[in-house]
Amino acid sequence: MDSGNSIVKKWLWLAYPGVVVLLMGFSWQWLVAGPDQIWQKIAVKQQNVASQQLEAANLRQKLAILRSQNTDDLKRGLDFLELAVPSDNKVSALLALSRQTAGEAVVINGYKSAGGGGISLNIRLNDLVVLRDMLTRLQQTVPLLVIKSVKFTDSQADIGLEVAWKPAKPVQAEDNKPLPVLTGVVEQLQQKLAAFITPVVGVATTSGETVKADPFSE
Amino acid sequence: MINLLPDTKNIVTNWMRYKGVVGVISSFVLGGYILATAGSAGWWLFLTRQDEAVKEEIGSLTQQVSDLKETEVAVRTVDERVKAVNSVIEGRADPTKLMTLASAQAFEGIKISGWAWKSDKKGAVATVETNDLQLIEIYRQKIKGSKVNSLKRSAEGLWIAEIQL
Repeated sequence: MDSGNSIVKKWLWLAYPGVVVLLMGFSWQWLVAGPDQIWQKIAVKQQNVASQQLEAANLRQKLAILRSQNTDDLKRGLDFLELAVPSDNKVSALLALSRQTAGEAVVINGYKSAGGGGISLNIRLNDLVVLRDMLTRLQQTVPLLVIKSVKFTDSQADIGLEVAWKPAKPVQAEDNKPLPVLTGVVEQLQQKLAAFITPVVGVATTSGETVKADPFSE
Repeated sequence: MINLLPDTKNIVTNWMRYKGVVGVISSFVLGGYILATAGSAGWWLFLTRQDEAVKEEIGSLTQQVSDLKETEVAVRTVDERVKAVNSVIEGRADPTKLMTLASAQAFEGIKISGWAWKSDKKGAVATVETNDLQLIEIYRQKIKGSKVNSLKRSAEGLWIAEIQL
């Protein structure tokens, strides 16, 4: 009996590494390989947290931009931009601007309607340089005009003209989309177009169906 | 006489030589295990708290952004119109460039009496009149890439050429 106890006592020290090996074996299932895979879950959670932190940072930035905006300034900017490229076809501006840009050396014979909401302007003038000067002035107007065609022959010229207009797209707030940066953009355009010719008469609308979302309406 | 019983005393003595090393290694492994488990649990708790905090922040920020919805719509509307203005400024074709070039290269004896240009076509066609046929070729050579499309003589004896610029 004593001899048996003595042997057990002599081997007892192996119990400690044995327990460690067993612990490691069971833990392997829990931490790495088994269905729980806690390390994998930690990695996934970390990715989620990182993406949410990025989303929060974007929202913070968006909120800061929104708070820095002045709706009156935005409205003034939009009014100016609508003058440059209206959301509907302002044909009377086209007629007024063609008269204003003609100059003394040009006689306007008449207008006729052209496809796409534009007009064809028939003028009488002496030479190509006079025509070029008029075309240059036509390209420096607000609303912006698009010259579609020029035909000059025997001291007569036909100029195909259109007002550059674009219908307003309905715009909605989008939570997950970052805001466009507008700092100085409108001011730059205002500076660029400051010296442009503007029509001296009111600009009537001829086009019918356009969507105009007024973001400032109550 | 042959002794077939195992020499237990010797086996125990042999294994006892590794007792110290095995004990030290086991302690290191156990220590590492405890550290890894505690670290994992701590990291999990930390991430869980961060997750809750960031979710709460996103909720609050979304609400604040939503309160400024009208401003956002105004910003996006202005941006749309800025794009429209820029696309017109950058996209429209300029009919005066070739006119300037053609006028600048004209000289005594050459008259540009006609011009045809379309925004959707490349180049322009200039009608040039002269008394001297050679002048047409001299003029054409002064404008790189140009070519004579047609040439005719009028009843008055003028040479009339259509030059593609």
